[in-house]
Amino acid sequence: ETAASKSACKQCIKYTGWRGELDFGLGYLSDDSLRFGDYRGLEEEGFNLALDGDVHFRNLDGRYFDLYARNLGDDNRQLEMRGGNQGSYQFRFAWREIPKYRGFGTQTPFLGVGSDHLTLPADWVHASTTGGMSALQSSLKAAHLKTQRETLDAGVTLNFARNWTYKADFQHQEKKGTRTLGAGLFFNNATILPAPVDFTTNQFDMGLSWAGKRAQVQFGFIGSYFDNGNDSLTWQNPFSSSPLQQTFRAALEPDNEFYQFNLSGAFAITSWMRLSGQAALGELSQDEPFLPITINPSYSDLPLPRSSLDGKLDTSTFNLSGKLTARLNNRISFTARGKLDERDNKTPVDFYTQVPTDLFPVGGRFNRPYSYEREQYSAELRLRAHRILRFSGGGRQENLDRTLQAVARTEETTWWGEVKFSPLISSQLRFKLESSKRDISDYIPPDDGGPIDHPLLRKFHLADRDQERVQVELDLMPAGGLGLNFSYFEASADYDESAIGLRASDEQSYSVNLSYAIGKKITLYAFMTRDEIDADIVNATAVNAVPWNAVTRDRITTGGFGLTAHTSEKTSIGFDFVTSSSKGDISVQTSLQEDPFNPLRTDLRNAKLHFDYEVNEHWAYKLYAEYEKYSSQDWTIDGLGVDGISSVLTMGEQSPEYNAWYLRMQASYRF
Amino acid sequence: GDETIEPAAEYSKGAKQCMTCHKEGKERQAHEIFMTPMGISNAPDSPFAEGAHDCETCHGPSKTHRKKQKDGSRLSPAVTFDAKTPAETQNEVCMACHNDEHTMHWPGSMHEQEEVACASCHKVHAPRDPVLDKLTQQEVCFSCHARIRSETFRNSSHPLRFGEMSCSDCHNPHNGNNDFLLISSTVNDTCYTCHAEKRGPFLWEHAPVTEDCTLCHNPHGSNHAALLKQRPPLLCQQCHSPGGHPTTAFTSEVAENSFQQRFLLARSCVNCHSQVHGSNHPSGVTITR
Repeated sequence: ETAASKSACKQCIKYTGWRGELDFGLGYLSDDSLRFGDYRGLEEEGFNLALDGDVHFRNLDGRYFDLYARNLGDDNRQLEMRGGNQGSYQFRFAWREIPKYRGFGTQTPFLGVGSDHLTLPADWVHASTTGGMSALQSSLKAAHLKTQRETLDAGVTLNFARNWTYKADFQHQEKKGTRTLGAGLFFNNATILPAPVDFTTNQFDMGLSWAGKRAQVQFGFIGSYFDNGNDSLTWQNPFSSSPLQQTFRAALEPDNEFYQFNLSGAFAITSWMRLSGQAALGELSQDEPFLPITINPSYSDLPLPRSSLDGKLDTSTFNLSGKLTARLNNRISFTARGKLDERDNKTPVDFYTQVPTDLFPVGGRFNRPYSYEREQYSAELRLRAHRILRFSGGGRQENLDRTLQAVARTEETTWWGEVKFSPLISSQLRFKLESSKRDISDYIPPDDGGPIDHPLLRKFHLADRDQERVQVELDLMPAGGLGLNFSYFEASADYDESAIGLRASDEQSYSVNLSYAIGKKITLYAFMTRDEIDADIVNATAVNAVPWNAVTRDRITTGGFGLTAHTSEKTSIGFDFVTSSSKGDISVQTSLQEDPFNPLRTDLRNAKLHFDYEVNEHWAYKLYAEYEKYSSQDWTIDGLGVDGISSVLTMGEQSPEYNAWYLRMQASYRF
Repeated sequence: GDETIEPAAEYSKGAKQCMTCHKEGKERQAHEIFMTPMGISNAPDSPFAEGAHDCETCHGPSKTHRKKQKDGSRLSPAVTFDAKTPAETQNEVCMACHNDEHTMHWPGSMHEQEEVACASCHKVHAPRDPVLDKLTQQEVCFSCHARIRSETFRNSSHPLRFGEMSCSDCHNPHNGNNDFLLISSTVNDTCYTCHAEKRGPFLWEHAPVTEDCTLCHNPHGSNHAALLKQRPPLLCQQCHSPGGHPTTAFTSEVAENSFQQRFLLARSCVNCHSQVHGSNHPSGVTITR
């Protein structure tokens, strides 16, 4: 009867064939703003093509095709398509671009921006301070620090036999453009350089899986190959024309390769007992030919212990989890997990003579390839004590063994408990408390020939720590369609054994969220979050010096509201508004004074409006408007220009500030 | 006590009957299911395939739903994907078919333990499920993870609010075994999927970098550039205390001091020590080259 009804079900076959929507029109941006264009791809005042669309095909024999296109006229274009025969095979393809701007108002006197060789103009006047570089202002050119990430994905899935699936995906990712790179010259000078970015990563991801009713298993392989089009950056020294200090060179990120075999599976032993696990074994290698020890011709004969690193590290991950659900009078579930991660660094250790700023040798050091092994065990019990009351709790142990570091082993034990109280189907109060304690083995700074830290220093990730986390959430649905959520979160950590280093940190967050659906046509929402992030840091200029301490206080308030309304059969409207303000206070206190800096500030206001009007079955118009106001203050860069620091030639980055609106109108053809 | 034996539930006559009331244009339309892979009747695993029960494959035998009650109301279908049906019951319906390599770690996972229903995130009737669309996915996640929404508006953040990234680029909500439901077994392996240039191994490694990117970065957003948790020099001074310039108390007076301001202003420590993720230069032990 079911089959007969289907053949007579007009609705069931009505949506076969091709359908879709093609949107085309123009957009207009009111002002130049790199920050507004960050990720959006809209940074220059003027018009842009606004092209979007989606196309779909469905056939009763199971064949299908979907295509989604967004922002084809912009630098953040996305294209995604997939098709196949449902249950038999699927092919997929995606193209995505992401523009990123890395500095605002940046300038540089260097020539060859974007290449791996930066030179100064022929008439450059060298000087020991930026103020003395008399040709600087006339040599400056705008240098937009932009990177463009382009990602191509292609893949196929084959359901080639009952329960068996094979999938293969390939990803090609390119990131090209320019970023900043700091380049120091011993203790004297530094230059902020526009460094080239030419990264390519190719990744293969293949998997063969079998899925039965009680067991599933997948075997997979990942291969990832990174290639940097530039192995180094060479630049001329703007501070000195001395032949031995004329040109310097830094290494850029080396090519590397990673592959991994993985096995993943799950097995339902009974209806109330289940095991699942994953294992992965891989190798990461890097063998980029070394640069010479220095570009300084005076030391061109210094020997390298090897021509390349032959860096290799084995990675392995094993994790196993088991869930046991006991059906007693009340439902109880018990879950246990275990996990082992290992980074076994097999990179050869050699002695490398150091000419750290291309000026003169300062001895040498052995390289230190770090390894670690992390074990995690956890167990949790969940009890449905009553229809309205649930308890859960558990413990977790994490042990981390490290090589070549000040602490060989850290052990952290965590206990947590949670109560959920739901007196009504429309309300729930949740309270969760978590407490953890981390103990370290002896803190013995390694004797690696490098600078010796203060004996009382405890690096925060290698330090004893007591941490508490509290989470309270109240969900209410007092009336049909109305939802309210209040939440509070706090994570505080004390490093009482750290006389020098991070002493304490605290993060608190308060949130209110509201959603209200008026019938099926109107939805309203509002939210407000307040975040407070504090840290106390202590350090000392010498072992016998009186320590100084720093206090940082970040305060961020974010809120917004919006609505979506289908105002009639033909029209719909949406509106969103967000405001986010932050203030960062930093105060450094010495024995002589307490010295607060000017606050770091950011203010963002963003409003979006969209309005759709359906003219007829085939045509519609779409209007989108966005307004954004942004301002920021950052005393570390504001007002410096390129020569504001006498010993550092910067790129003059400034805190962004703008008002911009963007308007887009599109005609939409639907078929 | 007495047990009431309820009559066996009955199926109705399939989609044709359901569509009488739920077709396009009706108040409670449900026709969009036929625009999705679930609605392709010739796919053998479709709820609408031969031998299946069409809408009632998921909603359960609901013959009683057809009949109006005396007060004009209707009984709900046997299974509804809302608060009226326990999440576990809803999920059993979905997992009866979606029991494969994507969901094998779902039982026992954090979301499953928290009794999140599949339908809390997935809209199976929508022609494009919002949680599978990069532009709309984060709103689905933020409906519970509200705190993260505000972090995406911070001064420095990944491009979630622009729809250029989605939560599932880093997190697998069905996975039960990785910390924070990450797509890879470690934090760093997850970050390396986009930032492969930082995975090395470098000749001169910066120890915390090899261990956990989140020691220095907050991936959801920060008040400081580059998603850093603290601003240099204080970020660096938490771990470095060898005397000399790394341990100077950089007060606001220093900002006016032409000799020392290079350690504090612009990029601070990174003015010189720029290879913080590791250096492959033979002379790069101080990560300046």
